[in-house]
Amino acid sequence: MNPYVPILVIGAIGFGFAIISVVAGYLTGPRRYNRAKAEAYECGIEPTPPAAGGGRFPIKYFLTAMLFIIFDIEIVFLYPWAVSFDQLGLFGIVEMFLFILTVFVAYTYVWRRGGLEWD
Amino acid sequence: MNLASIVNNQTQTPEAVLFFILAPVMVLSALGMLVVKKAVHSALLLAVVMIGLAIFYIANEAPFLGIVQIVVYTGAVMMLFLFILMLVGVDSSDSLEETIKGQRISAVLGSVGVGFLLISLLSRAELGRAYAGLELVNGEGNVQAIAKTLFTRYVWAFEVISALLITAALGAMVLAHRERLLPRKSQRELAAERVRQSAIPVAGLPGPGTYALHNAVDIPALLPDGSPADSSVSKTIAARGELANPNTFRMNEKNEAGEE
Repeated sequence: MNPYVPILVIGAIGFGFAIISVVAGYLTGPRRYNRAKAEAYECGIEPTPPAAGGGRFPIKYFLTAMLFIIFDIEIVFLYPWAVSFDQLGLFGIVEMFLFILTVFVAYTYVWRRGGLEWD
Repeated sequence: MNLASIVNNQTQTPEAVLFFILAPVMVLSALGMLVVKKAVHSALLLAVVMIGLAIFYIANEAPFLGIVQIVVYTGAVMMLFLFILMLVGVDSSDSLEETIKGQRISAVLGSVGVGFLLISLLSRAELGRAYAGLELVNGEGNVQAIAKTLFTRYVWAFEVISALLITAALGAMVLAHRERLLPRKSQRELAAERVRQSAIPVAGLPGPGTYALHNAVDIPALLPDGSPADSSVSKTIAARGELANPNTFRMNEKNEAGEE
């Protein structure tokens, strides 16, 4: 069997579940609207009216996002290396060591300059 | 190999059908990305292009590359774009003023250069060339094949990527990180500061009434030094001018002497 068939089946089940839930709720549920029902129930801040200045984020998040991308890319390279490092031999270990060492230069820099502190 | 035979031989596979459905969607999304006015819509159209590319990778039997495309581009890079949108403000509009001198000219020159590069690369492509075939390339598994190429033939490019990652971290630090010059205040220090600087008494407002002798809402309480505390009486009473003077109830020698 094609290995993508289970993925498709899971996808169809997920999609169907979402559709059926919404339709079943629409068909069977009572509709009594009031003010409290229109509110976002325990779901954080009210979406309207929009926050002043377009709801801008603090710039601190940029550093977090960038660090995430750096380690994301590191993982992307680590995965094929881990799958076939037995075939690559010592050379593979040395080059991955160098790669991780270089990435950790960046990590150490961010860490020592206080980039990981949230205040 | 002429065009007709390519069309006859290769457009009837499921992959070709996928291509002819998905490619126009991707091209339209890419164009829309440039045309739409709202930055969020542009970012979402970019996500469509990225997911389309991932589907093409998977259809070309490069599942690892397809998943990486989704994880890195649709996940991480897209998140970074949306973060930037939220940093700048979703509703903020583009300014047409040049903030960097000569930005427009260098942008035009740069795009023309990239355009020529693309044209020269694409014109070198040949149709109907002999190819190795997916069976040979993916013989020992897709990920293994990628690892073999990446960690032997392209090892230098791979190592240089770590330098690129250092640049990214450094750039983010320079742009977004504010150096802390003073040590961080502890919670205890912050609390002490709040008590010292606050205009509002920490223990709440004092109640009205002159203690021991008289007790009424229109009489200010007395502070430890004997002066009346205005904050102990409701502002409304003070505005009406009905504030009583606590000195009239004061039991001291002067007051007693006055009564006699």
